Amino acid sequence: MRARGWIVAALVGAALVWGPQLWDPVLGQLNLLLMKLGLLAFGGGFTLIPLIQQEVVGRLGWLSTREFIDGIALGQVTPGPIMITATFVGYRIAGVVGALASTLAVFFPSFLVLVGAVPHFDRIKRLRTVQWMIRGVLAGFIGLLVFVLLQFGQASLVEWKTWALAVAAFIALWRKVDLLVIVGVAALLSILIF
Amino acid sequence: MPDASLGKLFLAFLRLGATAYGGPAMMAYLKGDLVGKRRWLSDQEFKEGMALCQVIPGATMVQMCTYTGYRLRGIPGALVAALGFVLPAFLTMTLLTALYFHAGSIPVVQALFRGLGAIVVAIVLNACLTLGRTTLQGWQGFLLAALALLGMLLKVNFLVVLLGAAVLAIPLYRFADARTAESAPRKP
Repeated sequence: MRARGWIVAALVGAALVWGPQLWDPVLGQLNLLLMKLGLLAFGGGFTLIPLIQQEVVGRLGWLSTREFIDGIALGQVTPGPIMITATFVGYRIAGVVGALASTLAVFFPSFLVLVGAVPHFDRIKRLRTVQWMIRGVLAGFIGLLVFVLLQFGQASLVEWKTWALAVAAFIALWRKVDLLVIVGVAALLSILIF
Repeated sequence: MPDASLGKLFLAFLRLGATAYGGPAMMAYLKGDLVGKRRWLSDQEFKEGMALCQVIPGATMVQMCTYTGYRLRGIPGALVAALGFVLPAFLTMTLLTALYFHAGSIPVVQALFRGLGAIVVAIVLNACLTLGRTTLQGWQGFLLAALALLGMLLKVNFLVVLLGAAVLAIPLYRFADARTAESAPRKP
């Protein structure tokens, strides 16, 4: 029963890479990469942002930092997880098929890990070395996020108006103003001032 | 045993997925629905799920939905819950992305995204601070984060950076835990 489950999982994983690969070789490569990054996204979906920036934008150059930032902005006005930004990346590479394939690829590994980990959680809880390492990875992610912040700032904050918007939005976020309200007001303002 | 057929699970998580706006604040909403209203999880089970999500990768909210589905109906339940929750996000994102790539050159759209780009910078800064507050407890965390940033600036591969943080964390936190255990009063 157990073994069968893992075989099915391995087949699904392979299908998520080989299927898109037949459609478009670049999409197959993207899916493989997204599965890897999905497996590394400790500490919640937000940590996927620096990973995609690093690999898909920086190393492979499949989309520009500006485009990726726009994709993240779209992810803010859609409901659900921030990881859905992967859908944007997939669409950029291969249209609707790419969007679907990338979405499945990014969520699949963490789904497997969860389903595999639930029955063993009591044992995992006691592995102190693993806990320390995860704390270390989470701290490392803060460094990665600051790095992304610098890159995004350089791409987005091009004159005083964008600086002003960013500062105002940050103060609003800090005061727990609803994100949708912030995005809505910013959208209206942007059309008026730019 | 709560009444939860796979169809019911799917619809419940579809609804949650369509109404889940605003990141981490959503967790309270999710808990209110799953623990309070539907009684699909006990308070204790929810807490355990949250603890589990902190040690495994993945989007926390999706993982909590998957966890709930798994608790109720095993792997099929987990699958149905995850698909239901992500589906609304996927559909709206695909639609918006298609619009973006078709209308991206219109001046109004460009003006719009110029402003939204600035908002994203604020959101990332906010994420740095909120994530930092929960994960960087003590100077060890700050040191690891600073080293990771330095590594990135020096163009070290990010996998090496993260792995380095994980390995360095072992002696740092072992030392820290040993010291707190020493200074804490001994249990009778």
